[in-house]
Amino acid sequence: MKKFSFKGGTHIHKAAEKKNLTVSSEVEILKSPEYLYLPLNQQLGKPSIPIVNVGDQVKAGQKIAEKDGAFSSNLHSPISGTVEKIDYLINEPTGNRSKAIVIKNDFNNQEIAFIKRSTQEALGLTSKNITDIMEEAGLVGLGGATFPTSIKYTGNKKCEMVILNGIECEPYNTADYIIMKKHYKEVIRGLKYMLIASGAPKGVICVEDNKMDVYEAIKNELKGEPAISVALFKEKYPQGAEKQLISALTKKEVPYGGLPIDIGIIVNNVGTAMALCEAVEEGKPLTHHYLTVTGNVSSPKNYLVPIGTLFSEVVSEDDLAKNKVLLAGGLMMGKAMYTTHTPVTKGINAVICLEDMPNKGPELPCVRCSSCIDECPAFLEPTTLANLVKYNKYDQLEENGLLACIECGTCSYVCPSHIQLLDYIRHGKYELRRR
Amino acid sequence: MENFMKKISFSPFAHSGDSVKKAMLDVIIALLPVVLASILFFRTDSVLLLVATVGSAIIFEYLSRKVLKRYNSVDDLSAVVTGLILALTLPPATPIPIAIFGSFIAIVVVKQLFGGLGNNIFNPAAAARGFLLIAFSVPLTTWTNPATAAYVDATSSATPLAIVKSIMLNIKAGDLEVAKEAYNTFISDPSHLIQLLFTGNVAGSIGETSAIAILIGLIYLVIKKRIHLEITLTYVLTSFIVSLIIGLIYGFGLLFPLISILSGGLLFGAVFMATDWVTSPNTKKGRIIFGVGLGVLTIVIRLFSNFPEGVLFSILIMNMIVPLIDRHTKNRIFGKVKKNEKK
Ligand code: SF4
Ligand code: SF4
Repeated sequence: MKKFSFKGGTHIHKAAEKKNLTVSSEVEILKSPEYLYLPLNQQLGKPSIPIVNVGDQVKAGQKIAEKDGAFSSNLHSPISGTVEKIDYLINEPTGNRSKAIVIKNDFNNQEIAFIKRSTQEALGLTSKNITDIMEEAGLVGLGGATFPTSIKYTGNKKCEMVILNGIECEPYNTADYIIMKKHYKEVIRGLKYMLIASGAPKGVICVEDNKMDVYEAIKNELKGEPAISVALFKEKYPQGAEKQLISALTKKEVPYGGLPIDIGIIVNNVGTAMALCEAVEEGKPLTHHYLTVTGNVSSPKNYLVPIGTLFSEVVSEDDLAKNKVLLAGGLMMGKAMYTTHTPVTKGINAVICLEDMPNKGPELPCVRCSSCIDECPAFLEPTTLANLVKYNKYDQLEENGLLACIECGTCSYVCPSHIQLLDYIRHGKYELRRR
Repeated sequence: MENFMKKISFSPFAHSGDSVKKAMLDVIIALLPVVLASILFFRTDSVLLLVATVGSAIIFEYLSRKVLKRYNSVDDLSAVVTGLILALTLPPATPIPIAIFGSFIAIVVVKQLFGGLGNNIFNPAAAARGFLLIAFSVPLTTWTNPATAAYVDATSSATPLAIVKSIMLNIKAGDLEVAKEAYNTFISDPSHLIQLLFTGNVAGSIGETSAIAILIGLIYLVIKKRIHLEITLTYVLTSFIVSLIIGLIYGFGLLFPLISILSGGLLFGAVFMATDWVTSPNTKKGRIIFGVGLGVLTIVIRLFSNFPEGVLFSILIMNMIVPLIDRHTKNRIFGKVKKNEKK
C-alpha cells in the first residue's frame, strides 16, 4: 500500500500511547453549562462585532456577532439564554485577553429555525451558495489555524484540488479521529460541497497510518466516487502541517511566503468539512465541536462541547490539583494556560493536563549535532537562526528563511542540549515584525 | 474558584529526552570493542595509556572550567570521549607523561580555550595527536608489536602503513622496480595479511589496528543514530578510489586500495574522529564534501608528503574549512527555488 511522507520531521516518543488514552473511550456529550464565554476573536483576522446587547434573549443558533469585513467571521450562540455581559473578561486560549459575550443558559433549549436541505438539493447548489453558507455559518479552519474558510474559496486563483487534512499528528489529540470514525459520511459530503465551492475536479482525504480503521471505512464509502480519494500517510510529526502535507501528497511545494492556492490547492481540516456538511444540510452554524480532554486526568475522553465552554467544565478540581501544566491545543504546538477559566474556542480541539513541565533545561551549548537541521520540515537551520537572534543579527534572519518556520517545535524537541530553539525563532519573528 | 496552574511555558511541551550525555555515552559504548581489542593486543601498555589519558582529560576538564569560571561540565562525558579517542590513537610505547600532555592540549588548549564543547574548531583528540606527532616525533613513531604478535615481518615491527610509505619513497626516488618488489614481498600472503589487518594483530596505534572492533562500534553508532554515516562512507570510499587509481598507475593491483583503507588509523578516523558532531558540517551536502575532501587529502598526504600519516592532518585541515563548507551548503529552504533553477 502506498504511503506518503515528507522530508524532515521526527517520531515523537510514545505518541501512540498518548493517543490510546482517548481513542476508544466513549464520547461524552457535555450537557450545556450554565455560562458560556464566547470571545469575539476566535478567527484569524478582525474580531467580530457584537449585534446583541446585554440583557437580550438569544436562541441556540442565533447570530450574536457579525463579521467585520471579509477577514473575520460570524459568531453564533450555541444555547438559548440571556446575554449577561460583553466585556474584556477572559483570556482566550491564544493568550490574548479579548472581548467576550457571556451567555447565561436558560436551559429551555430554544432553537432558531434552521434551513434544512436534502443531500440532493445541496448538491445542486452553486459555488456562490456554498461560500455564502460558509460565511454565514461562521466557519473557520478547525485544525487550529482558524483561517476564515470562505476566504479560501472566494479568491480568483484556480483550484485544482481540495485536500482534507485528517492527519492529526499531535500526539495526544484524537478529536479528528473521532470525527472521521463517527461522521466520515458527513466529512465526505462536506468535501463534495467544498469541491462545488472551489470548482476543483478532485478531492483527497488524508489519513495517517495510525488510523487504519477510518482509512478502511472511508475507502469503502468512496467506492464509485471517482472525484474523491483517500490517501495514507506514514506516522511522523508534523505530517499534519499544511505545507508538509501538500508536498508529501503532490511533491509540490507551496512557494516561500505563499499560500496553497498559489499552486492550485485548498487544504481544510476534516472537522471543517463536517461543519460545512451540517451548515449546508441542517442549516446549522458552527456552535459545537469535539474536544479531547486528556493527559493526567481521571477519565480521559472526547467531549462534544458547545463553543464557549470553560475548561473548568471538563477538567475537574481534583484533576487539576494533580497537575502543574494545562495545555490548550496540543503537546507540540499548543499553549500553556494559567487557569481553567478559559473558554474552548473554535480553534481549540484538545485540553491536556500534564503532571509537570517536560525537561526544559539547563540549556547547554549547541554541540552541532545537526538533529535540528536534519529534522526541520521547513529545511531551515534552527541552530543558525537561534544564534543570529542571540547575537542580534536580525537583518540576516530573513535570508536564512525565518519566515518559512511553521513553529512545529521539532527543533526544540530533538535538541540534545535542550536549547529552546523555537523560542529564539519566535523572538526573531517578533523582532522582524517590529522593524 | 479560579484555579491557577503552577507552570507556564511555550511550545513544544515535550522533549525527546535526548541529551549530550546520552550521546557521549553511546560513543563510549561504541568505543568499547576497540578498547578491548587494544587491551587484548597491547596489554598493560594499552591499559596504562587509557587510564592516564582518560583520567587526566577528566581532571583537566574539571580544572580548566574552574579556572575559567564556567559551570562544571565533566558530567557531559565529552572529556571521557576525548581522552579515550586520544589514547587509542597513540603508539603502545608512548611515554605516559607525553600522553598526559596530549590530554592537556586536547582539553585545555583545543577545547576550553576555544570556548568549550561546541565551540572548538578542531577535533580535540585529532589536534592533540597531531601536535604530539610534531613535538615528539620519535616516540610517536616508534612502534612495538602486539603482545600476541605474529606479524609478517617480525624483526622490524613496522606498521603496514610504514611499509607502504617506504614503498612510496622508493617510487619517489625513481626505484620503481625496487618498490614493486618490496610491495610484492609485502603482499606475498594476501589472505593472511588481510586477516591480520582485520583483526588488528599488527603493529600500530593501540586502537587503530583492529578493523573488526571498529566496525562493531560503527554498527552500534548507526543503530543508535549517533553518526552521520555519510561522512564515514564518503571518506572510506574516496580513499579507496584514490588509492585504487594511484595503485593502478604504479601497477600495484587491487589489494592496494584495500590495504590503504585498513591501515594507518583510517577506519578509526573515519568512524570516530571525522564524524565528531562539533567539527563536521551542518548539512548532508556539506558532510559529503567533507568526507570526499578527507579521503583525497588522507591518501595524498600519506603517500606523497613527509608525514607518516594522513588521517590526522586531513581531519584538521577539513575541520578548518567547515565554516566555509557550511556557508555554501545550506539546505534549500522549503518553498524557495534554488538560484540556478530560477527561470
Ligand atoms: S525551525 Fe520552525 S519549522 Fe523548523 S523544526 Fe523548528 S519550529 Fe519546526
Ligand atoms: S539540535 Fe541542538 S545541539 Fe544539535 S545542532 Fe541543533 S541546536 Fe545544536
